[in-house]
Amino acid sequence: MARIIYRDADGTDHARDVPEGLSVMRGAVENDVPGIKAECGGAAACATCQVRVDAAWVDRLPAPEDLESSMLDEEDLTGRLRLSCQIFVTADLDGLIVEIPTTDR
Amino acid sequence: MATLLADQDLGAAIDTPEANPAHLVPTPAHVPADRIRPYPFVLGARTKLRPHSLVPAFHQGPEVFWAERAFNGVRGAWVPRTVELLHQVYNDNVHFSARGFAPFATMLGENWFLVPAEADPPLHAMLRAMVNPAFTPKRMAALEDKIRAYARDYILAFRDKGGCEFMADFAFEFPIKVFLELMGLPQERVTQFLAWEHKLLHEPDLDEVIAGTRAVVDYLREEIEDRRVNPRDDLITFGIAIEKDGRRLTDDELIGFCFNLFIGGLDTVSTNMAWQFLHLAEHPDDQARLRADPRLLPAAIDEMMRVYAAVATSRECVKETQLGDVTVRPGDKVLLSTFLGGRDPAAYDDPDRVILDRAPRHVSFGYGTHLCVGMHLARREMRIALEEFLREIPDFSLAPDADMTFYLAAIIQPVTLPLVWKA
Repeated sequence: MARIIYRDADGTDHARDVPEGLSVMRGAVENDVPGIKAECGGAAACATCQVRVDAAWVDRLPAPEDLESSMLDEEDLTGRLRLSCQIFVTADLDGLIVEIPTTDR
Repeated sequence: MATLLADQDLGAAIDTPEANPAHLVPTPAHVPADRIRPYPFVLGARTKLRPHSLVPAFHQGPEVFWAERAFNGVRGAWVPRTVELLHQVYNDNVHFSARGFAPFATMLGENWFLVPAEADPPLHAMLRAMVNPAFTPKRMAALEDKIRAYARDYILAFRDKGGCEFMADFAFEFPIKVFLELMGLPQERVTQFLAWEHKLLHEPDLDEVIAGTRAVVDYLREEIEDRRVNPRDDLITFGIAIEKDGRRLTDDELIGFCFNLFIGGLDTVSTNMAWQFLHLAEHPDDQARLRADPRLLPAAIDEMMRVYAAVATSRECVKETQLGDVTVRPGDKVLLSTFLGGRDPAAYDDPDRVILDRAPRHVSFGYGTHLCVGMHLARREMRIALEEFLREIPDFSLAPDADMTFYLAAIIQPVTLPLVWKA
């Protein structure tokens, strides 16, 4: 288990204990965290599970693979923007903070 | 079973063209006879019934059944009807291949396939990574003003007339305009593209389908050759230029990419818009609610896409597997009928009812790795169409003398949609 902090668009924190091996997306969807649609179900195909990783955590996550990067808007050079379906929970991620942006569509 | 029509009534109410015996593929011997169900959504079939009224009856039957002529009007397929089983097939790239679900190249005697829709892993992930950057939410947001201007052009042309034939006067051409814009093709081509699109998708005569496909492919090839020497800021140039780890799209992949955008992004958007406008024309309460609160539009569009899902794609089994309680063998087609999944009573309460703020997860854009690459653009087009229509046009309804006919496949679509309002 690792405790993941999901910060919604209003700034409210939703702390959830997520089993290791599950994606950060799955941890949100299965624990009623609002704002993460994850329409493709975790295949890095829809970009509706985008989160902004807290700056302090960016370097502690494995870098995104090509398919994930291709879904992220290139203007974002901070490396904070990620698909939460491609971040898999490990014990090291206990305390990870991800912000859920408002969806623009 | 009040909504279930007897099979003989269905036969009379649905005009299904005879299959050409030369193309008809016989049902495989391993398909149990008691799993074969009458299936009205056959290529070229038309009806005056509301097509989605045929769906609830299927949810009283088995979770997976065999439908003769479900694939291209000439070949049978397994049809899973639940969201859970649809997810299973969408997610399973080991037992199911996406190749050959839209055999346009085969009809022309050519070798390309839709990129990325018909690619399988590992090639699919690479192709998708190559084309994804052109379709991100932010990229699509940058098109907002242009899309809105196209929508307004059409709407202002009929606003003061008190009515329109929504398909001909708006739904068909509006997405073509956006497509031409993206592809860097001249806007004057809109009528030509519309004619090709109809040949490809709604002609029961296979020779006409082939002629339409030929015309589109030849034209796209000419434009690709042009962009090689005259690069521009458009998707054709983008397709030529993308490079990943030293690899570029091959000529076949380029035509597959351009054709995929053509086949995926035009008629599908027209159709979904048609269902949304028909629903609002017949449900004044829902129309009034969206007029009062346009912020509800994104959720409402998803809900209407669920209830009026119109598309079926397919997979081909490449390795024996279990789907529900049936065994699917290599060579079997599996039809992914989003219009059955959209009304699955196990996935949605009161599945046949539109609840504007339900905000459902649905399969109308597909699911898994092949989820519609143009989803963010399609949503934007549909939202802008509704926003501008509701802004400019007063309360609208279906014309009282409307005599509606619907295509049942390849996409469930009203042939015409006459709307009226007080000018």
